[in-house]
Amino acid sequence: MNRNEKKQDEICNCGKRVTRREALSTAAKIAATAVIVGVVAGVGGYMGGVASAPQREVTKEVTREVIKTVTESVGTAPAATVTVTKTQTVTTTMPATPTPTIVKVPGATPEERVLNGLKMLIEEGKIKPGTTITILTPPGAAAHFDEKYYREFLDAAQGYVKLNVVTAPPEGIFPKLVSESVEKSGVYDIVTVPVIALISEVVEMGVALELDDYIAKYDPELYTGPCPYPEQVQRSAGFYKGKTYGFNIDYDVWLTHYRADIYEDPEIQKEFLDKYGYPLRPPVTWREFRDQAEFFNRPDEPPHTKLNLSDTPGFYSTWEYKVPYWELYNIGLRWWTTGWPFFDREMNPTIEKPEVIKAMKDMLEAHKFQPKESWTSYWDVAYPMFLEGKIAFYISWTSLMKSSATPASKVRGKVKVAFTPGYPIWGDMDQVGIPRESVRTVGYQAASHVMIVNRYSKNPELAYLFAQFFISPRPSTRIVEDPAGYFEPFRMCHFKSKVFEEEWGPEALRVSEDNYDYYAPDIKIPGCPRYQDILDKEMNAAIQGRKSLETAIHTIAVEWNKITEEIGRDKLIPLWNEVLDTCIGPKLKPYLKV
Amino acid sequence: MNGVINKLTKALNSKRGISLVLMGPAQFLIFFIAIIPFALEIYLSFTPWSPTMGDLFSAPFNYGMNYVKLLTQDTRYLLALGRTVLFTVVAVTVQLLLGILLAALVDRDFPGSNIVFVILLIPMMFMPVVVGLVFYMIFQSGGPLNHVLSIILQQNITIDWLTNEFTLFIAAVIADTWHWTPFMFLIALCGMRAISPNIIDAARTLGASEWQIFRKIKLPMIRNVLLIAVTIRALESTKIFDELVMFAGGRLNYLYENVSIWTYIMNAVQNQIGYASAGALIVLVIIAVLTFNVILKVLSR
Repeated sequence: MNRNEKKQDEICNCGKRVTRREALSTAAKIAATAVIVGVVAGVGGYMGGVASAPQREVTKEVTREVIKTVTESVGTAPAATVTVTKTQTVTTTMPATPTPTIVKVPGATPEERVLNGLKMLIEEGKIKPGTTITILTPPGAAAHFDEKYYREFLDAAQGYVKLNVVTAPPEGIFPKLVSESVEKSGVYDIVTVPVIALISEVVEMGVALELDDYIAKYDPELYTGPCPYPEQVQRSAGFYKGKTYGFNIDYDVWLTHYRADIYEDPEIQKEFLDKYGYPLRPPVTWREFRDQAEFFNRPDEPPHTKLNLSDTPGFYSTWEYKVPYWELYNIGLRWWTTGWPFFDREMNPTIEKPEVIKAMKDMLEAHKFQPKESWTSYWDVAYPMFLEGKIAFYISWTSLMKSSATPASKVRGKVKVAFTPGYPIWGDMDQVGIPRESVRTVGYQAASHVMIVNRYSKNPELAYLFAQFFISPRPSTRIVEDPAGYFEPFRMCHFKSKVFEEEWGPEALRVSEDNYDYYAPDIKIPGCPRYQDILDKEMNAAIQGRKSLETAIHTIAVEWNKITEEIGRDKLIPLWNEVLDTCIGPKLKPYLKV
Repeated sequence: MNGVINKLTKALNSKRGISLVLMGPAQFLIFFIAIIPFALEIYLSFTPWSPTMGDLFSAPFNYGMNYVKLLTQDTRYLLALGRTVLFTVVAVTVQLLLGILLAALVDRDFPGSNIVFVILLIPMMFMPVVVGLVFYMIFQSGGPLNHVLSIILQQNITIDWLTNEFTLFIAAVIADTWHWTPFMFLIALCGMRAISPNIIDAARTLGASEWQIFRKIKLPMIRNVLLIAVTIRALESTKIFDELVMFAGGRLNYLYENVSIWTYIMNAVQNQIGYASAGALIVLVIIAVLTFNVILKVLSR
């Protein structure tokens, strides 16, 4: 190394070699420093985020006595009602701090109050130009958010507000809410949550905004006015721990859809009467359901007959779901019709009650007479089969009425609806031919949708106004009438819609409306997905023959009790009692065994 | 000012400075994309956290109770673990044997060998969900497999492959084998082609048969490569998910609930993120221990 090279080396250290060990050692030190810095930054950021996040509401339990006048069904005749004055002790959750006085926004109708509210927010500078309301909804409901339905709303917003509809598959919406509960991004303002029973989880996750102050300010006339909600349904969808967190925006209460051309055919009626000794009618009791499942199960029926309208052989009685998730609704419906809700008032599972065991046995018995495809497929195959004229009766959502009325349907004009079957209120569970009034009828809530405002929305009041506009009588009627979307009538005036009357027929509309009186909800308490998963897994094993029904039922009872203990029995008892007290249809409630 | 610049230049030109500049950005990147989520998962696995409990750090620390419950009480998890191990052992063994067999057959010059080579690799290019869908159709009770079996056996075969745990297991092994045998074949063939022809020629000159060459020379010489291939496949097989979901018609497969399905259910259905994290980490530890053992064995040779 000459002198110049030495000098150069002193300056830049170029001659020094870095060994692998040294480099790795340095890298490890850098990594350790990065971890420490990152953790400190992360914790700092998190704490900063917590500090700036909306504070969790502090509430207190208040017990007070109230005198309440209620109208109840009494005794054996469901139609007979008397007025009783009762003194009840009511425990309710109250804000710990006094709520500021809320000034009601003027307007003759809910939608008018929304439009006035919008103008006021703009005047107060609370809405800036270029504000976007982002709505997260399943693709099947996207048509309901077409701008044509919100022209008045957007006009009142004076061009300040735009709508942005983001779609995700129904099963993908809940995970997005889970993420939102951690991220608190406010990326969605409005979310339509499929399966309204999940409202309890959504509220507990902290992503649903409590709406009571806005309801007081803008009065959406939930239970009053010319177009109220059926109270038990709206409470089932949006009410939790004494507060309102969402609006029901769909029907999804199950009904029996049946081929009237078959049921009213004198030859078929005689054939049935001769075989079973009682007249044919859409199944009213589960025993009738079983007999008709057997009677109409004709896999060898040739095509193009009175029964089989399709081009392929085979006619089938009915289709109950036997695949994971969807089977839950058939199980739930049969369960409620025994008079036992999923839990008693102390949160003990009722699945081991003799009536419920019998109901599950009856279900497995009826499965013997159903199409082979029903063991592996669900409505994706069942709907086309019904529309092709290959199924006699089918307990389903009212979307089946909509599909039946389309020109491509071979059963167009031939389908009627009836209440779903039930068990006799008194006596033998296997009775047939008894009056409908003697049967415990249940209008079972199979999924449905609830609209919530994201608690982390940047514009919560604007988002609320959008939600109120959506559910307001006049706009909501137009919105649900859109055949491209899958939401169906959810407020009472929707059942007066001429569009639905033409599509479904007046009788079907009346039955659908009356079905709300027998309303029964899903497991609307925290832990709902856990309870459902166990029920689903075990009952599926029993349905598919991998496990005895008795073992499956016992496992469900044991596992449900474990979940209840884990979440906290004391916490769940008042919440389940809230469901039993507020979410049951008035004509079902007197006949429950709790 | 000049002094500061000189100091900085000197610092950057030092051993530590060079290391910092070269390694720092990568380290920070790895930290944010790998270490934070992993650390978070480890933390959550020690809590019963579910989103309904509030913020990530609001759940109480439960001192490893998730692990205790999973390994001593949760029969559902242990069964899922057992199914995963069984599937991995059976599927990877079959794939290994078939891969070696195919490699031995193709490891010679014959007309169209390149085309055969490419054709044999095609299944590997498919996405798992597509493989699941294709085999879902094949295994229908009225599907092509039963049809072919009916012709061969001269009687009407109507096996419901996907509604029975055992036959579904067989179906899953067949689908996975079709999908991933090409991988084993590829690795084995590469290993065989890397063997010096001189060794093979010498063996032939000394009168060794083809079977003896395969058994005594090729197989021992590709053992390490195969060990790596088996390790990679075993890691992948434990994660089989798409095919099982497709076999259940795109739904949860309660019939063959392996660890992947179990983790999905606990996370996305039951919402028990903390508990699911513990379950996933147990699998990670098992896999890590096995993998390191294999790697150490290979390196020590």
